[in-house]
Amino acid sequence: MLSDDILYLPIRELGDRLRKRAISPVELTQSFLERSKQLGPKFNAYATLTEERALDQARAAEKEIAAGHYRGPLHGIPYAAKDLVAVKGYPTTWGAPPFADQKFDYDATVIQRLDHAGAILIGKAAMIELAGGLGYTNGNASLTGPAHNPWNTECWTCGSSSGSGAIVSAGLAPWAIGSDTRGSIICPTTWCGISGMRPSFGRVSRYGAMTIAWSMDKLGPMARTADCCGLALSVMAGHDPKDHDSLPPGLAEFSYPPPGASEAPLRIGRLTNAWSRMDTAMQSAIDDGLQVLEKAGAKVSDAALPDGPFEDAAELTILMEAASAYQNLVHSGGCAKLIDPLGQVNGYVSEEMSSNDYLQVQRVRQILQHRIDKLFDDFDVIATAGSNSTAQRLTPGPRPANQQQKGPAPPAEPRFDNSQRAPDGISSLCGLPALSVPCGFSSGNLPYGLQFLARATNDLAVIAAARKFQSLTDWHKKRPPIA
Amino acid sequence: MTRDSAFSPPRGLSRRGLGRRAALSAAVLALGSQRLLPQGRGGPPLEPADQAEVDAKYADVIRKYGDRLSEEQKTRVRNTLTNHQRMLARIRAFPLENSDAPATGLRLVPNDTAVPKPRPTPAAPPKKG
Repeated sequence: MLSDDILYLPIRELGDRLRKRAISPVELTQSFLERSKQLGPKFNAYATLTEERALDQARAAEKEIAAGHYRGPLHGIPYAAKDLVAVKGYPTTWGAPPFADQKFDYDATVIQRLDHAGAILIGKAAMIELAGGLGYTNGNASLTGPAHNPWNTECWTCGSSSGSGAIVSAGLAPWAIGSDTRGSIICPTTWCGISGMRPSFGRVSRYGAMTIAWSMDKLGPMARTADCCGLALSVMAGHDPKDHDSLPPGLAEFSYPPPGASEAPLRIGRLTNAWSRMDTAMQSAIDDGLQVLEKAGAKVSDAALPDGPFEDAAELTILMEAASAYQNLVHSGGCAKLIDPLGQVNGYVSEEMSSNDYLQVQRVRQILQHRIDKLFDDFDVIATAGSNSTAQRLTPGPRPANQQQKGPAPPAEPRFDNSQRAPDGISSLCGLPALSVPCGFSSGNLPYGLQFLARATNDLAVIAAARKFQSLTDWHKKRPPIA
Repeated sequence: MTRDSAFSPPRGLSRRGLGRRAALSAAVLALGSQRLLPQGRGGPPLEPADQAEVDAKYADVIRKYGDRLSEEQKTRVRNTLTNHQRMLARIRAFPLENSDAPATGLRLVPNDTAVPKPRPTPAAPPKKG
């Protein structure tokens, strides 16, 4: 098995070694599979390992590279996919008991694109049930149990891309696909101390991926570095006529320039009104991070999110679209099999909203889009924390029926507050790209994240800002204390 | 007057309400907003019209699905309806005009028909002689 020092390398460095045949795709894949088998259960990181498929792909990559047919930066690189992405022949459970035996007879478009690039799928990442599509109240709401954070296994990874966060953080794969409807990539990225990106809406096809909300769902990479995200996105992105909301040809593709290409000094807006509560040590870490960029030539000045009911519009859009997306589950009563007590009833409640309410939200949304877009006349990116806290401790909560202990389930506690001005409400509603990277640690050795957001379709701006930050700091090189 | 200057953010939360909400979720505020949905406890009382709407919706849920729900779940339904109603009230308070279109739209299928192709140039008549 290859050493940890190899398994924690970013994609670009792994790719160099594969291309030069210093390591082989089979050896690399076997090492990640072995590590995943050993450590995956400790973190509840995987739903399924796709070992047979992975080794077939690895052997094919090995032959091709040996023959001089190198397909590009992901050729021979293993990865995991959140278990809401269809992979032919393997279970795709959506993290939820009602779909525990679900299989599809086709591959999602994003899997096809990665296959074509020679990437190697080693497993399906655990996730929160339905990616939280019908709501959830804590990290226990997963078919595979709560994901444990590699930095402290008594803490959660955040969700809903919980397994993807644990897998990358624990070095079980170099990168993983996550999905983000409202914060489900950025929060686990931050809590797990990795680099993760939510691309612009429509950049990556969702065909073959579970739907929560058609107008808000995105797929994106979670990886070691911002550069890894850029490399993965360059393969994942592209127009797909099978996805109604796919950006048009010419706009959907993501052309990724290598680091070192000439870059103009960044104009960074330091958000002053995001998050109504934040730990002072975390705020200091964010400010320190921005100072690093400022000293390197970036222009940093204060910026404020515009007024408007962004968070309410985001949440209502999700609730109403999800009620429609899951109507079969709701009408059949299958939602009773969900783990989380909120998920069991939320579909019934959301159905009560009217078509007029939906249109009202979408009319407001258009105005809010213009408001946030205007902010980017003055800034290339805006910056704030990836989350306003470090990873939280897991608490006892509801379990699947077959795992339940005797006695009443603990009550679900409220965990969501729209008064927070969390930037993910705005950015998700308006389809903006975002990328979070590690920027420090708490006194309890839990990661902080620095998040960059940019104008819709300017995905390169968030990568460039984060890449610059990582060229000046070492936070992304820290590894969790895995015994 | 522009829409922006006319708009005052309809937060609908008093300081007291904000404080109560903050206290309720203090243990886990930091979770950010990743699809962790509210249960509807806390917050100021609804306006009478909103409360009446919640009551009507609750009755409708019970009519349709009541036989599937435990008493605890019925309480959760009511709380969640209340929380949704607060969000709806803020959205409904946002001023809109007739021309404000929704962020939805019909896209023609297949997508490549959206870009009209240039008409072929008519062939020049054959020259005589």
